[in-house]
Amino acid sequence: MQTNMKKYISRAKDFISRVYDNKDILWIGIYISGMLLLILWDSLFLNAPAFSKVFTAYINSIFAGILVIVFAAVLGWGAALAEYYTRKKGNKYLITIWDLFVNMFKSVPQIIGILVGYIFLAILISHEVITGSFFQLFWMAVTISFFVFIEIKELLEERIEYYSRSDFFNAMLCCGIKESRIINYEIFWKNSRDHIIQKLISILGITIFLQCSIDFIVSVGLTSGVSLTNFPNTLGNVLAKLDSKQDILAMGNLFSDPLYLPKLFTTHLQGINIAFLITFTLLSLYKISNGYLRRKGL
Amino acid sequence: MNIKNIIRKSLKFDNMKGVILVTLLFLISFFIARSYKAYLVENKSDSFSEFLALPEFNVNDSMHRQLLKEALNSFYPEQIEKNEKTANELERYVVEKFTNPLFKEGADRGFLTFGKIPDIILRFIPFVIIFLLVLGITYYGAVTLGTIKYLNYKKKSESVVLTLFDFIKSEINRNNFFRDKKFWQKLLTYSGLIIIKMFGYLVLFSPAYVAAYAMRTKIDTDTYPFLILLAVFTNGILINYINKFYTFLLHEGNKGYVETALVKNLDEDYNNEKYFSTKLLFKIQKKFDGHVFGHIYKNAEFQFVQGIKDMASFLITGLIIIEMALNIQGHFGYELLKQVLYNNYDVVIFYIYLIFLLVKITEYSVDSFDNFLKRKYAN
Repeated sequence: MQTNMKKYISRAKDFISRVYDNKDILWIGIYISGMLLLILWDSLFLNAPAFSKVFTAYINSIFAGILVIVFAAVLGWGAALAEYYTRKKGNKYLITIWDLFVNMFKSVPQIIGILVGYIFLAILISHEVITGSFFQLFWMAVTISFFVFIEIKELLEERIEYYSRSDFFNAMLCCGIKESRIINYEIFWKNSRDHIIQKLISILGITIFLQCSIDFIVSVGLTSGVSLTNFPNTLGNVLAKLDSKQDILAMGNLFSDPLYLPKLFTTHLQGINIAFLITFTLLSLYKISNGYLRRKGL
Repeated sequence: MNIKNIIRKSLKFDNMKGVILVTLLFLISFFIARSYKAYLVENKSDSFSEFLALPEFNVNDSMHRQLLKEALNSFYPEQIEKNEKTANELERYVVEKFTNPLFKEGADRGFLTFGKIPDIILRFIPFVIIFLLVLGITYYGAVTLGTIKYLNYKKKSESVVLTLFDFIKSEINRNNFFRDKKFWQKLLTYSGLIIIKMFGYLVLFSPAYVAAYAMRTKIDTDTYPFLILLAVFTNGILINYINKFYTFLLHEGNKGYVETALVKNLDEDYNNEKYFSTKLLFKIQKKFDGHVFGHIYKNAEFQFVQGIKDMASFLITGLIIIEMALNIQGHFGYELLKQVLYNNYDVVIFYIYLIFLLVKITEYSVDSFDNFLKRKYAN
């Protein structure tokens, strides 16, 4: 029996050693298992309305996050090309305007830009210009993507710069290959796809962090005059609701009474769930992004 | 035009030119916001302000407001809709004025005047001091912990999970191992370490407001030291930069000059306490003279300096989020949020401009320091 056990443990260790080298895959597995475990726990201990609220908030946040990375990729790609061709043309006025535009987005902290964008969205929603959860999430994603796309733009610029330093670029030009094809296909698609995917994963993490923070801030701080309560449920604004906040505050009881721990996972489940979902998603995305970076040797 | 030149030119964009242009843009936005606000104020006062001045009319009394509505309907029956709108606006005005907590604080909603600028600057100064402290601590933390992570990698220390497996595998050979107290003690220690590591990760990645609310009932979360702790240890910033520095060390460790240094008889023993004692590792200015790691460290730190620009921007975002989410009254971030909520966009633009200047000054300082290092190591 002991020999069998030893064999199993040895195999388990080998398996873990192997997945340790592919940490992105390991963390995708951990994330999926964690989510399944959470759903199982919630179905046992969380009441149905709260469960549905948490689940909708999670889906909305992830959906908006995915939309953001799609928009950011398109904006970043467009901006990198625009910058390249603007500088190539050498028009001083165009370059100045372009620099001004980029400088603005780079120097204003993302959270402030998004906050102002959200207020603008709230006005549009209150005037019923934007209706329905899908379009509200869509425009929320557009707003956030304006403040994260610079990272993609800078990555693509670095890639052009990297290849232009080698003979690769000029050799291809000499072969009669169109410049746009060299940049878009040869550099971006064939030689930078892994870099772009890794960047998009990390942007998804940043987006979820920013989105949760801004939703939390506006839900906690907004006045009746500028209510964003009509916004679809996201992890940030559900966390800001009184019942969730009380659940988080209850964690403080652990300092004086550590035996309170089991109660947290049964009676204060809504807030704990949301906080865990945000943190676990951010941690997993970070680990997946880093693991991908190492596995691909970027 | 040569591609190299195009890119070199783009990278050489003059900092001052950018600052001047953005300042101009801020000025234009400021005047647009100001005139828009003036327009709103003018139009807003026309709708019901004349009724506020009526003798004997008490706007706080709901009966008076109802009477006003009925009087308007009696005198102007042809404009019922307009009367309804006026009555609703009056209701909203009362709700805002007497139930909105932000109004109760007596915060003003006026235009940005020269008199208000010193107040804003006085709020900005502590923000800058906190930012500099957080930046310094985060930089030190990232470099120190990144170094420790690299040394562990070089010492080939296995992760706790794998060590646990090894331990169980070795213990299984012994008869009745599960009756041995020491076995359970060690098993508990390793399991405890795994739980602590996971918990540490969750804290480091938790948004600051989650961590702060979790402690709010026991600790005063509105103090400066707590604010600094939150800004350093949460939001995933510290761990991100530890990893960045570690990656720089890994890259440098694989370069050719390391082999050359080893040929020149530099020490390569990563277990040598002479170079890597706890005291030396936690020093602010770390020196590893005589060991090959000294060169790896210097070159990695040299590259990491440019990362301070990004770090600064993330830290400012983090600090603003903390101040806004925790509603720390009187702090720069909270006051900024309040001005946004009041639609005081001229004041908001001034706040944003101050942050813009802080970011630019940090970038300029980092570039100057980087140039200084380049000159220092040029030979």
